[in-house]
Amino acid sequence: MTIEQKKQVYTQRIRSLRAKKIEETRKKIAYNGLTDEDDYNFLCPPEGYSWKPVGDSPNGDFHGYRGWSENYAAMLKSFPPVVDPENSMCGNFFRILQKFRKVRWHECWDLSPWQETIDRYGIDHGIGQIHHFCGDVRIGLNLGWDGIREKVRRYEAVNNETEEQREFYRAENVFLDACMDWMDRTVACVREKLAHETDPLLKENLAGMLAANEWVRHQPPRTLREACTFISWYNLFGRSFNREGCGGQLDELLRPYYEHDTALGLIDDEDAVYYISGLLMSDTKYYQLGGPDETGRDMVSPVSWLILEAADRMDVSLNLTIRVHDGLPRAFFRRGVELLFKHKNGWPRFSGDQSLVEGFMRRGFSRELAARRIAVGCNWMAIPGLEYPLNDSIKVNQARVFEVAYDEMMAGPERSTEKLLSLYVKHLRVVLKCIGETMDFDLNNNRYNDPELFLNLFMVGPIEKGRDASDHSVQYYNIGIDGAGLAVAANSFAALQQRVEQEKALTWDQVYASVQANYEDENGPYIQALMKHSGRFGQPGSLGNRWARRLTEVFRDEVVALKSREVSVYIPGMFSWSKTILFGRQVGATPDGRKAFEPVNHGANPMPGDVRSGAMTDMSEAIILAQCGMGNTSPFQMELDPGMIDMEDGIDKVMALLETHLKRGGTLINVNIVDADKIRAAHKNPELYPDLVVRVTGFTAYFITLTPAFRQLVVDRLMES
Amino acid sequence: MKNMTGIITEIQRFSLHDGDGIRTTVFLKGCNMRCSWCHNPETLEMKPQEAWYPAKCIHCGHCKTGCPAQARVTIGREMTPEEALHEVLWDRDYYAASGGGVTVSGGEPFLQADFLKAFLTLCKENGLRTAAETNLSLPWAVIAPCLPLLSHVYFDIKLLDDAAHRKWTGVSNRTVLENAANLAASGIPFTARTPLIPGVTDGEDNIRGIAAFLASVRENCRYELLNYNALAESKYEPIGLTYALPGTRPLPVSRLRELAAAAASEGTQCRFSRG
Ligand code: SF4
Repeated sequence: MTIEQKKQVYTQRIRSLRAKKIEETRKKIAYNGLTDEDDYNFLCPPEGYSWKPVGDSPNGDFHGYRGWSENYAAMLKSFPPVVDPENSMCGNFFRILQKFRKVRWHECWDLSPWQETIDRYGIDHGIGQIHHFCGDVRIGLNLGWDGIREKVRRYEAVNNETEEQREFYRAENVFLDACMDWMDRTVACVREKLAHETDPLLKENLAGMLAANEWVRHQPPRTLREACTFISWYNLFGRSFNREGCGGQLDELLRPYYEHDTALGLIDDEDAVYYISGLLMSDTKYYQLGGPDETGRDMVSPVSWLILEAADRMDVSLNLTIRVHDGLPRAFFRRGVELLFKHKNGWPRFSGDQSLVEGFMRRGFSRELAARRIAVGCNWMAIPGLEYPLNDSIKVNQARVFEVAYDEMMAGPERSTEKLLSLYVKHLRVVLKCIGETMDFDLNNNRYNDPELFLNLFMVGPIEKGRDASDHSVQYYNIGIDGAGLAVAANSFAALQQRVEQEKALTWDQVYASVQANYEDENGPYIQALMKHSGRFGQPGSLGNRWARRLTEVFRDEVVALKSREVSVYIPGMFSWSKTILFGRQVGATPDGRKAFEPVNHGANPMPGDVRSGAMTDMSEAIILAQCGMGNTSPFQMELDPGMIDMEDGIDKVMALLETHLKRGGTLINVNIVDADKIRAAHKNPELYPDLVVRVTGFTAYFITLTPAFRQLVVDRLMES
Repeated sequence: MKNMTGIITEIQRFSLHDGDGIRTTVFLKGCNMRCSWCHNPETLEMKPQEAWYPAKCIHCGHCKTGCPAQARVTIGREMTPEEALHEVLWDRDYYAASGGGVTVSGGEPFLQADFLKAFLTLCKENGLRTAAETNLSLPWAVIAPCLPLLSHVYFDIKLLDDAAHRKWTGVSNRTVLENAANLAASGIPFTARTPLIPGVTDGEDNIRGIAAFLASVRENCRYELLNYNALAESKYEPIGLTYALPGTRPLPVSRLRELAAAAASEGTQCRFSRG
C-alpha cells in the first residue's frame, strides 16, 4: 500500500469507529439515563446483562480490600470480550464498579462529629473521596504486567507482619488476576476473530493486535503499538474499577516507542496515527501535550503532532491540554487553536505553565517538582506517581458561608461589610477545620472503604510499603480545597457596600427583609433590581471585582494556614466542577439579587450576564482576580464565537487572548466554540444532535447526555457570548 | 487644556472588528451626518441622553430617583483624556500580544478634536498604536493635527453622487473626497469603507465609482464593503427615534462577491464583510 492508500484505509476506519461511538452514546443514554459527566467511551451492556456486586453492609454496598477486589473480579468475568477488527486497540467494558456504590463512605461510620457542620455549610468534605491523583504509567511501561505482578509478590514477601498487609497484597493479586484474565479472554477473542476474518486488511490489523496484546500481556512494551496497547488496558482497568480518569504527558510517554519504531523502519506516521487514535478512543482521559520538562526544554515532539493529527481525524469528545509557556512552538499552539475551532469539541484546553509552576513553588516545592506537576484531571494538576492531592474533590460553597455569616450579622446589633467579612472568615474557618478533620479521618480509614487497588500499582510507595495510597504510603499529601460560588459571595458584599453603606439607598433591614422574602415582598423587585445592578464581579474596576479579590485572598490565606493532624499542605483553588446547580440549591436568596436556590457561578467565572457581551478581556481580568496562586487552578470557562476564525487574523487574536490571560496569572482555560444556532436547536431536540460535544467544565461531554437542568445552564452560559 | 473633557458613548474592550489585533474602541459621542441607516444612533447627539428599554422595566415607580433595573439609562459620559487613557490601558498586554491598540470611533470623533488630540497624544506617549474611524467630512484643518498621532485611518465613502449623498446623509461629500485625497497624499495608511445599504449604496455604479476614485488618489488602496447590519433597527426606539429603513435585509454573499470583484477591477484591494 502507498502511504496515501494507507491513510485512506485508516481514516475510513477511524470514521467508522466514530460513528459507532456516537451510536453507542445514544444507547447508553437509553440504558443509563442522563448524566452530567464526562463521556468515558464504555459500552452499553448487552441485553439481559444483570451482574450486581455482593454487598457487605446493610445497604448492600461493598467495601475495603476484599469487597472491591472480589467484586471487581466478578464484574470483569461478567464482561464479554470486545474486539473490533477496525480498531487498533481491543477491549472495552460495560459497567464501572464504583457506580454500584450507594454511599461514598461506609454507612456504618460515625460521621456525627462533623455531620451538623457538613449539613450546615453544604461541605463537599474529605471522607470517602477517591482517585483524583495520578498514577505514573511509566512504572507499568517499564515493568510490564508480569513485572508488576512480580513487584507485588516481592513486597508481599517482605511486608507480611499484619493481617491488614496480607489482605492488601491479597487484594492486589486478586485485582491483577482479574485484569489478566480479562486480557486473556480478550486475546482469545482476537485470535478467534483473526481466524474468521476474510478481509485481508482487517486480518492484518487483527494479527498486529494479537501480537501486541500477547506481548503486552506479559512483557514491557517495545513498540508504539505495544505501548498504546498497554496504556489502553491501563485506562480500561482504572476506569472500570473506580472511574479513575487521570492521563499524563502522553507525547512524552509515547515518544521513546515512536523513535524506536521509526529508527527501525517498523512504522510510518500513518501507522502511528492509527495506533494513537485507538488509544484515544479507549477513554477520554486527561492528557497533557507540550510544556517544559524539568530542565525547561519544551516537550513538543513529532508525537505531540501525531496526537493532534489523530484527534483531528477522530473528531470526538477528548480531553487534551496544551501547556502554554514561552518555549512552546508557535506552530503547535496555532494548530491547537485551529483544531479547537475546526471541531468545536472543546479540545484542546490550555494551561499556564508560569502561574502553575510559580504557584506550586510558593507552596514550598522546587521548580523541578513543579514542572512535573502536569494537567491530568478535569481542572487539576498532579505529580504522577508521587502526589495524592484529591484535587477537584473537596469544595467549599462560599455562597453558603456568606449566607451563614450574613444571617448571624443580621441577628446582632453591629452591621457593616467589615463586620460581615469578619464573620465570613470565622465561618470559613469552621468549614476548613471540619475539612481538616474529615481528611484526617479519611486518611486513616478510607482503605477500609474505597482502597485504590488500581492506582496503588502505579504510585511510588503503596506496593513497596504494603499500604493503600490513601494510607500514608505516598510521598506528598497536598490536599486541594476548592472554593465555589465566589461570584455570589463577592457580589453580595459589593451590593451591600454600594447600596447600603455608600449610597444609603437602602437600609440593612430593608435588604435583609427582602432577601428573606426571596424578593417577593412588596418592595422586593425594586430592591432586587438595585442589588443586582450594583458593581458586579466581572465589570472592570467594580466593587464586585474588589470583593472577589479580597475573598480570594481570604480563602487562599485560610487554606494555606490550615493544618490537620495528617496533612500539612492544603492547596487552594477556585472551582465548582459541575456542582453549580447543587451548590445553588443549598443557598437561599442572597443580597446580590440572586433568588433562592438558583445556581451559583461556574468555576471562577462571573455570574452569567454580568460581563458585557463578548468582552473576553473583562472576563479574563475578573478570573485573574480569582486566582489563588498556589499551584492549583481557577479556570476560565471561555466561550468564543465560531466567526472569530473568519477574520483575517482570527487565530492570532485567539492565541493572543489565551496567551495573555495565562501570562497575567491565569492557570487554565477551557474553551467552548459556540455555534449558537446549533446549541439552541440541540437544546430543543437533543436527540437530533448525538455528536454535539460541549465543554461542560473541565471535561467535555456529549450535549445529549446532560440533564435538562444542566443543558440549560450550558446554554445560558454559551448564549451570553 | 486642564480639565478638558470629552463626551464618550462607550469604551468597548476586546473589540475585534475595528482594526488589527485585539483593540479597545473609544466611541465619541456626536455626529454631523444623519445617515438613514446609522447603526450607532445613540452616538448622533453629542449630549448625554436617556434611553428607555420597556422590557426591562419592573414598574417600581422610582424613575425620578434613578432606575434600579437599567430600564432607563443615560447614554454618554464626560471623561478627561486621562480617564479615557486609564481605561484603555487595562488591555495593553493584549494589544502587545496581538498587534492591536486603540481605535477612536463615533459618532464622528473629529467633532471633539481637542479632546481627541489630547487623548491620542497620551496614547502615543504610552506606546499604544491608534486608529480612527471617521466620516472624513470635517475641514482638513481640524483633522490634520491628529494624523501624526494615528497609525491607521478608516473612513467612509458612502455615495459618490453628491446629491444622493446629501439626501441620505444630510451632508455634501465634497469635503470627504477632498480629505480622502489629502489623506492619500499624507502617506498615512488608510482603509476606505462603504456600508452596503440595499437600494441606496449598493449599486454597482456607486461601488465602481468610489473604487475608481480611491484608485486615483492611492493606487491599490485598501477598500472594504461592509454588509448591511440589520441589528441597528432595534437601537432606535429606546432613544425615541424612528428607523428610516425598517425591514431591510443584508445582501447575499454572492452579491458581496460581485461588488468586491467590481471594486477590485477598478484598482483597489477590495474585501467585504458578511455583516
Ligand atoms: S425606575 Fe426603571 S424600572 Fe422603575 S418604573 Fe422607572 S423605568 Fe421602570
